[in-house]
Amino acid sequence: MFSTDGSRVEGTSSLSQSISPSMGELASEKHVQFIVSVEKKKDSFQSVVMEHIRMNGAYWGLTALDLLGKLHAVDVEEVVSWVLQCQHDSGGFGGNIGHDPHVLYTLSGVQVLALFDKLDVLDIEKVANYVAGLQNEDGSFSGDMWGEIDTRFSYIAISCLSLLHRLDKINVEKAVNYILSCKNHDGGFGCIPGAESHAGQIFCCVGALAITGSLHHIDKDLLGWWLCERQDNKTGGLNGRPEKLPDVCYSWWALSSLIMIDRVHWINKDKLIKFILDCQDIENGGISDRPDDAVDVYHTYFGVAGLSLLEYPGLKAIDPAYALPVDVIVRHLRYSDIRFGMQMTGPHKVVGSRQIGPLHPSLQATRALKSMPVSAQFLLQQQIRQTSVAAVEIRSIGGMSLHCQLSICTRATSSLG
Amino acid sequence: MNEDELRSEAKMVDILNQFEHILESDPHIDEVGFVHPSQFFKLNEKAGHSLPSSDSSADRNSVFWNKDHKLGISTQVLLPLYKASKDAFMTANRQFKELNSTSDVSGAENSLCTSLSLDDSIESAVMKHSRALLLLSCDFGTAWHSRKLVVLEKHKLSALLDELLLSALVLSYSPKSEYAWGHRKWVIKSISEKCSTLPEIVTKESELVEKIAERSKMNYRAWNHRCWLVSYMTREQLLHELKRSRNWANLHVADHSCFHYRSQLMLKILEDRCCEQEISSSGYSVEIYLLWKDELDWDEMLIKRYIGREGALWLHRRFLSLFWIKHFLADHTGLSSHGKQKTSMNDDFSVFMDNELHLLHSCSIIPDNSFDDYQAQAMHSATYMLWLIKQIPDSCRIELQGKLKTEHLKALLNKACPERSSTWDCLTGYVEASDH
Repeated sequence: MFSTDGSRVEGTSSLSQSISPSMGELASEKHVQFIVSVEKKKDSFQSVVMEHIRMNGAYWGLTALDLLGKLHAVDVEEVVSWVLQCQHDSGGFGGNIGHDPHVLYTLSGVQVLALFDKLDVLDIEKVANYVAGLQNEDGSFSGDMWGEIDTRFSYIAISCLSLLHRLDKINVEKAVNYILSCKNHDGGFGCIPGAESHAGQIFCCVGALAITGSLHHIDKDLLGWWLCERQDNKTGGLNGRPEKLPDVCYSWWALSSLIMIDRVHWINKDKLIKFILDCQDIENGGISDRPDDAVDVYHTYFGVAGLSLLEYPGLKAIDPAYALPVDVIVRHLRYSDIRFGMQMTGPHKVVGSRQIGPLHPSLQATRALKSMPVSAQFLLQQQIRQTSVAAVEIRSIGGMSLHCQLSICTRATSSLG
Repeated sequence: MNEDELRSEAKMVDILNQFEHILESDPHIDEVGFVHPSQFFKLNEKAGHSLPSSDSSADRNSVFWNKDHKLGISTQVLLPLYKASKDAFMTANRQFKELNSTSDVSGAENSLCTSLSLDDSIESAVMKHSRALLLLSCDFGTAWHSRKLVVLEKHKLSALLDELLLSALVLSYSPKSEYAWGHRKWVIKSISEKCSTLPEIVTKESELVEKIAERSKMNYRAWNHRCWLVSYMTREQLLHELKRSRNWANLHVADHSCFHYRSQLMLKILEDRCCEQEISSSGYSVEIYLLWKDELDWDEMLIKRYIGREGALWLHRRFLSLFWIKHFLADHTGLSSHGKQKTSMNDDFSVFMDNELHLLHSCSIIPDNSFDDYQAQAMHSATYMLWLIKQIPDSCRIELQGKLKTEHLKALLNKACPERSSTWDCLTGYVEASDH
């Protein structure tokens, strides 16, 4: 069913071979049709009433399309021009044309432009100033001028500024310390200090720490414990908090966190794959929160993204911290070469996690580096300049999945640093 | 635009006016919901015959139903009504913003009088239309923001308090609305500096969360709001809340959020007491000790009453035990290191752990013809114990190993829940690894 097409990954993982035939398959074509059709539905209250978060919807739908290898199903110019119309003089983006700016939509806007390799249409400085201007004295971030504080906004600011190569505009140390102040005794994180642990907030905190190269602050075993207890023994699905029903979206939030802290082997991956596949609408496309519920773009994206993390065949690999396809991150971070003083040894295409073969060590190191968060790269690179240990570390892990490399490199960085 | 469209647009503006009129004429509406037109009849019946039927606005065209401060909106008009209220709001909002930006620059050119009255009418249009819109689309952020701008310009406490009413009304139909909760937070922050009735407001807020939590189980935003209130609570309020939420938790043992709220109350009491102690430098507080002991006993009672049903109770126990060990055992070591103290610490730990081992034992019996509940109970108790072993200080762990082997826990877990044997391997492996 997975016809080969230039944008798709051809390698198979050991995991994908273990997928049993009875499991059902990902109805990729149907999902593409569903995502494209959602935009055109304007006749129900349920669809129209979401127009204020259309920017988030664009990010979910388009990233899912890209993971499915069908980003070209949409008109690039149309999307880019609409995204730009949502931008305000302040530099921030609204959820739709005429709506107030907020970091939630600013990150989605930046992510959508990154998907299309169109970040150059932006006044980067202006966007970065908007985001950086929302940092508070204690290191936290407000979502907009009205001052609501949430660790989601910390992640958004850090991810966004990292994509724009402007992390130097904020006080990263304070930002990290604020996130750490939201850590609970169970190892998880909440939206503000003292708030209950929640898998969505955990993704944000772990993602922000990964991007800033600060994962060593986490008690990975304790957090991994909490996260692996999110798996439902019967269905295999993950929930977001104790005593809640499993929901496909946590196949992103909890799973990506487990990957970033290198504890994904603590859950049963095959059962989770089956759960996601069971939530598909095979006839009309789309994925729902739980089997037999109504589908929507949000769950379709998180279902596909979760399967990508689980190395399901035929999907592009997704970066667990940036929540964008790995090739977008690799392509994008190339712009940082000058800044980081890196030498590219030649043009290359990295599409999936399986294509890192016996390459020239420096290219291999470059690739491994490129799959890492910007600050981790920066740190590691400084180490490489000073010592060759890190380079050796990287060389020895070629052939592993990008996710493993990420965690190993980050570990190498923290142990060296 | 053809004639039909014009007519239907005029009709929608009419319905919007009707909607806004109802909201205006009954400022005490405390609940709003979307209902199918066929339900209007039933609603009328239920509401009783105290009012003559001709009085109800529902009879006019079955679009709205309004009685006893409850408002029903027909699901059939939602789409056009939303469009009309959004258009009306966006137009008013544009004018409002234009006015604000011009009055900053060229305010002198206009006569003060006309600009003020224009201001007023545009402001009230923004308030009127945003209210209608938010009752249809709860997270329309721009509408909430514009309300904040208008309220700020008014500089009136009553205007701020009105916002609490509107957001409560929005929460009545959308209890998870992120913006409605955020709006309340903003209002409370704004009045906390100048309002002497803050304790009263905090109490009312807490009651509102409880009311909403009743209908909307484990509502993250609602409970977070209540946790956030903790920092504004007086000592009396903290104790009162602890008592009150226990009654609630007795009836909602699966609601982990409520137990988390209790943990925050307890930590705040502990924190306040620790601050006091630094000044008085007396020994550890008997009051805190009793508070924790009481909570542990209560939790154990619930665990035994609700066999295997509720993981929330076991997770709460993890929190209680962790802090028990950290606070009460550390307290001793911190005070003195001479022999007598050390013995008493080890004794305390033994007594505590013996109780926990006893609980584990009583919860890990799986009868042959058992139901899932007993297996779940065994699984919860074993993971609890494993988690606790990992958290306790090394010296205590060695002592404990004499009484309990991790292999036993692993065997128990595999018996209770064989589906997750690989997870149990990882967890026990990790606990064992940290022994060395």
